[in-house]
Amino acid sequence: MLFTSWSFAAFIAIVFCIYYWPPFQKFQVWVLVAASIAFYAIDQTRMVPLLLVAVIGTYLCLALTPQLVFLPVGIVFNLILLGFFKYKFLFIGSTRAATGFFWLDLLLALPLPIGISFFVFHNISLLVDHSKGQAGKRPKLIDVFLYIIFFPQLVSGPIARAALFLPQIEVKLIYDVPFVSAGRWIIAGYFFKLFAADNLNQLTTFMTTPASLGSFDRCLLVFIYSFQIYSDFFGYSAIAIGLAMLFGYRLPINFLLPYTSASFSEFWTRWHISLSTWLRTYLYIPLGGNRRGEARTYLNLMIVMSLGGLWHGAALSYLIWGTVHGLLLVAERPLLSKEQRLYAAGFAVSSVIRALRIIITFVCVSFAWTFFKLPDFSQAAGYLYGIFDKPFNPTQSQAFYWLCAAYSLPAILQHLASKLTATKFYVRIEPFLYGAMIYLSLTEAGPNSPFIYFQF
Amino acid sequence: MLLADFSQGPTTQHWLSKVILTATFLLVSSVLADKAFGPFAQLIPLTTDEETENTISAYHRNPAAKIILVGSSLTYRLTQQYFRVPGVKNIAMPGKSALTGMQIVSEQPVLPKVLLVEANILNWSMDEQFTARYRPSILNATALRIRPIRTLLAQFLGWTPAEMEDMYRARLSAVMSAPPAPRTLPSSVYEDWARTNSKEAEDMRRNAADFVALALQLQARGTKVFFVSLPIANEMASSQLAIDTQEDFRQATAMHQELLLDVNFERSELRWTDGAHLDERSAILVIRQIESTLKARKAI
Repeated sequence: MLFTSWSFAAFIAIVFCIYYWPPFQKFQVWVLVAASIAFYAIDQTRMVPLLLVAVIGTYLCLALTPQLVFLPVGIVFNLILLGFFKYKFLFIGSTRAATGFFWLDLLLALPLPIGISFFVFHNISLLVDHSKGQAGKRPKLIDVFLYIIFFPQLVSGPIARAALFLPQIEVKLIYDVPFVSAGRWIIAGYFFKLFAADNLNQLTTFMTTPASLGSFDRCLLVFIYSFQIYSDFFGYSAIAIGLAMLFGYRLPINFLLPYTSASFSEFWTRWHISLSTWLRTYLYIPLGGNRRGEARTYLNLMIVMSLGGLWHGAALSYLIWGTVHGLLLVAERPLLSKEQRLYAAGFAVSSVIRALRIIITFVCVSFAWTFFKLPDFSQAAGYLYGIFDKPFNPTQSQAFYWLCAAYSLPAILQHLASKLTATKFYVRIEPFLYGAMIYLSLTEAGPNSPFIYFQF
Repeated sequence: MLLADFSQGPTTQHWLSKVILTATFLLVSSVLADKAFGPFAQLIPLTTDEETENTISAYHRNPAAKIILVGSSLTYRLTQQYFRVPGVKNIAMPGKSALTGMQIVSEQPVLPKVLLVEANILNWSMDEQFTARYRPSILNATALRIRPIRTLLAQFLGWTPAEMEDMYRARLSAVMSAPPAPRTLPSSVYEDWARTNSKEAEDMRRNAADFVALALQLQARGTKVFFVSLPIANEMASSQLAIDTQEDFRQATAMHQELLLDVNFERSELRWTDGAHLDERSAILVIRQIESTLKARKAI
């Protein structure tokens, strides 16, 4: 069920009413779990058993002792699930012949379960946090279900850490719902998705058939896609956070103005924060982080970013995207150390230098997104090669460029004018701005397209 | 904006009322402005999907027409402004079967006098999800005609409907006075076409039967329906897929020969951009030949 459908709005209204209806107060967690299973079943009924197996399997590994044995078993179980369903076609091809083993053929015939990358990461977070004593006492099975399959975050996150989510499970009262905050998140989320991302998606379809595009248009579309993917994923995350608030839960924020980052390491503290936090906590630090010398730090960065790339999908393009980010992090690391030394010696980084660094970071990050838009590596490479190979003159109509500007504006303004939100003037006009956002989401929505991160 | 103060607590419950009132005010103002001053200038669609949406929405608002053309991207090239006969609407949808267009037409309360149905593609089925979106009752309840940003931009760029008509009229004579394009296409074009057009014999036969069933329904309501096979390059016309398509159509219409419109196309004058889609000059020639055949059949 798409977050942007009217049927989803009806679904939320029904679940909300039942959830806060006094007779159901004792069963709120059950209501949310049932709603989450129904939400999943509407799109992928036949994959519900797999979702249940993943949760129950993880819970068993949590409950059984000794933990020294069952913690690794649980992690391996989840990694096998992810590896099998996400990467099976890398090895067997999508048109393979039957193996003759009923169960294997059945599993091979199953499609990629929606949200598997996210619920597997939730499972691993639960296992690790619990083993470290960070998630409190052993949770009940129903609480584990809620943590892993809570519908606002089930399909594309944010990936809430068990230690942050489980302590929030308690009886919720409608009087405590922060309606204004939830409203802000939800309205902004839908606006970014429907007005910005869906319209930009229509413009960036030209990237898939670039033969007639000149060098200027190719570059422009790279940046437009950069705004599209941000608007799309920020939109989704904002809706998820707002919906969770309606049910009394706080999910971690996923974005913090990422295109204002002045370095690649800063970018990864601002973009898809829940994933980068997960990778840092459960992969980078266990690998040794930056505690085992420079060479090992660089190796760890490359491993984490390459695996992070592959986490998005079983394609060479995603691996290259991750590797490019790894290389950028490695390349900037010595420079950042030098900068820190200068800073300690009393040299201040001028705003001009910072602006220049923001531009460089944005340009590099945007060009790397090409591998997301065009997961077929040869297509992505051909597109980028065309930038140097084609004449620079613009080839699209005047209206095309105006629309690019109009639909990118929300993301641009959000990044450039964030400081204005502290002014009294902004506070006065804020409700009218949000009203205008609802209006534009309804009247100027682009053609319906699924969230980009749903495919991961 | 939109982010920095999310962590702050709720200001006041009046906040939500102001938001809802603002949105309602803007929506009502747009509807009233459209009724009082519309229709406003429209932007030229940027993609074929957008054009399809615009075309079908416009058709729903005013389904009255003398002749309607339904089909895929092959028919899409037959620009309605190039017809001499007045009252022509081309609602062909690139990437969709002509069955989809036929279904949309059949659900309208007002039917055309003549419905021309492209008979070149049988291996695509009806897009039921799409037709469901365009049922009159649903559309009338949900359609908002104004897209504020695009309306403002079209107004700013001065793209009025009258200017668009003038543009087509000016282009018509220029295109027709140009010589035919050279008739050379690399063989890879035909190979790619064969590779990307798969067929399932059973689906094709079922689709052919659906075409005829829908055509008979429309005829019973007073519309003259004609299947027309648009010319494609010889290399494609001799492919197995094209031969099977012709054969399935022939069998499905064996008892209803009156549904077939045999047009004597002047093939030596025709050129295709990719072996299947007519270039602009050829499209105009094909339009003229279809018009004469319809006149000969006393359909118009």
